Amino acid sequence: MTRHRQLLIFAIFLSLFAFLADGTGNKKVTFADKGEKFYYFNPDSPQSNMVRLKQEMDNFLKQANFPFSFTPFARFSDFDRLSKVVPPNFVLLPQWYFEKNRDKMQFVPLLVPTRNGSTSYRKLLLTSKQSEATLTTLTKKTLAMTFLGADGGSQLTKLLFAQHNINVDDLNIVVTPKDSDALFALALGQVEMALVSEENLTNIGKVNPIILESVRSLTESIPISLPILCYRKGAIPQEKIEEIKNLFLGSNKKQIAIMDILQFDGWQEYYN
Amino acid sequence: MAGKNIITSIVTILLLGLFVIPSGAKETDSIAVLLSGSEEVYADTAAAFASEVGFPVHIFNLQGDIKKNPGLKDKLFASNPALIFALGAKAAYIAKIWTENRPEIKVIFSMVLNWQQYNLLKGQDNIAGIAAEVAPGTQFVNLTTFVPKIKKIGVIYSENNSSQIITQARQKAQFLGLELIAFPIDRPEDFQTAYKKMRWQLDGFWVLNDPITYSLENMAWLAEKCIKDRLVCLGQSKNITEQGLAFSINTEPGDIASQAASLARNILLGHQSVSEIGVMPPLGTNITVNLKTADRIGITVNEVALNMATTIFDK
Repeated sequence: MTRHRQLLIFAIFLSLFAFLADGTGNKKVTFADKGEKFYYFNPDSPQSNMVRLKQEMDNFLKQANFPFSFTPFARFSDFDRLSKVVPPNFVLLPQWYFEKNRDKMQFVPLLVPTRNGSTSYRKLLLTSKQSEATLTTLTKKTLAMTFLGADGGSQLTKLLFAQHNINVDDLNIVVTPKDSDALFALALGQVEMALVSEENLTNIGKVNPIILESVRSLTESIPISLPILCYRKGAIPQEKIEEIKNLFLGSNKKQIAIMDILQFDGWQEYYN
Repeated sequence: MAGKNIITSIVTILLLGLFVIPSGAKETDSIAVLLSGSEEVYADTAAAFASEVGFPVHIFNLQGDIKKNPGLKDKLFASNPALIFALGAKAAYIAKIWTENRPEIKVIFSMVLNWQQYNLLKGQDNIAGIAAEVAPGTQFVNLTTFVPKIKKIGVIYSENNSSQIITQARQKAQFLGLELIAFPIDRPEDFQTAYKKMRWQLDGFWVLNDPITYSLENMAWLAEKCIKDRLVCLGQSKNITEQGLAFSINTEPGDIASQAASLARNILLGHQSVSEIGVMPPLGTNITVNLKTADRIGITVNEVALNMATTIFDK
């Protein structure tokens, strides 16, 4: 079957799905509709407790009169699947996903968070202290890291390896759900390298110094944008978009508490 | 509702066929996912695997018994798979037998409890896997991140079932600055006596998934004793933490699927041979904390660790 025919069949079934899911086939998304969705997918966050995140964010949004259902995703496959079948009104998502899907999913960037005053972070390529690996001897080594998309190799090249002329195809990449899983796998000798955010390494090192002492950095990535808060074009009235923006940009006690949960310390308008 | 499910399944199946084949792989390469049965956990894992692997995926179901579907082998081979991802012990064993004379077809198995008992790697070098249990080192490193003051950890085990894992555990404990005190028993009814003998040497206790030591009765008793003795106890299931143990570390099917998808890509893109992989421990962890128990035994869990927890049973 040609790719063209596959796409055509897919489009037909997707339309059929939308028709059956709605029952009328004439669904128009308005703010008054039930079930407004706010999705969250941020695999590099130190926050892994999705239940706590959902409870706190649901309460926060409810108290601010935004009847969104906040859905945090721990895994890419769940996030990607649901985003395509039931697209969100708002979403906080990694830059790599935004860049790949912004047109298709009609995501419009609104805000970007800050951490320690910066809208970006870096990831460190780590190996074990005993390892003799250098940037010129990485071939066939196994690297644990959080998911960077189905084309994670090209993302990795852009973020890390292009500056060192390293061919990502020479590496064995193993995906982990959290930075700490990748770091611990390296410390325990289950993999030969890990890609971990500098902040997560420092934080874990503070409570478990043996881990920090057992690894060393080979190089660091170029700055990676923190996840981007987007809305979906046409899915939400303009005045509500402004209200959400003002809500996140505010600095009252509740907003600061939410920042702690999300592990950010502020928000800025998104500039391309 | 059933209609919606059917449509969702059709959309998912179509999505699976739409992935762009990565450069370096052959255009004909596809993956067969072989399920042991119709349990939801296998279907969910297969779907997560398919959405991340980036190769066309065809799903086959043993339905618990190969006799129920005698034509399945021919159907699977007709899909011309370069790799079989086998979920569950039955699928893993069948995949091994079916590829005995087809070494060019690689196999990755997962969700096989105590995989060693099936001799899955014996006599064939086309098979790799992901163990079902989180490695002892991974459990200890998470525990010491949650409770850095722990230095002596106890475990009760049976020689017949767990001597290999205890050897591994000792090595990793030493690396993390822990002393592992292991007490062997032969009968489930000796568990409580063994615990009482070793308790005073310990500040932590590790619950092993050992068929001799792990019984509902022993675990219910242990949950109470850990609190009474103010001992940090670590288990391997969310349920046991909900019952009262302070912590548990296990792995989720979705994380196994991600890891298997990574390994499948590494194999099919020619980066990694199956024999280099062997059987990997699961790298993804699901951490459950019972804060009520932590409070009762007098430990404060630091904020960094709390953020790493996937589930918290609160005060």
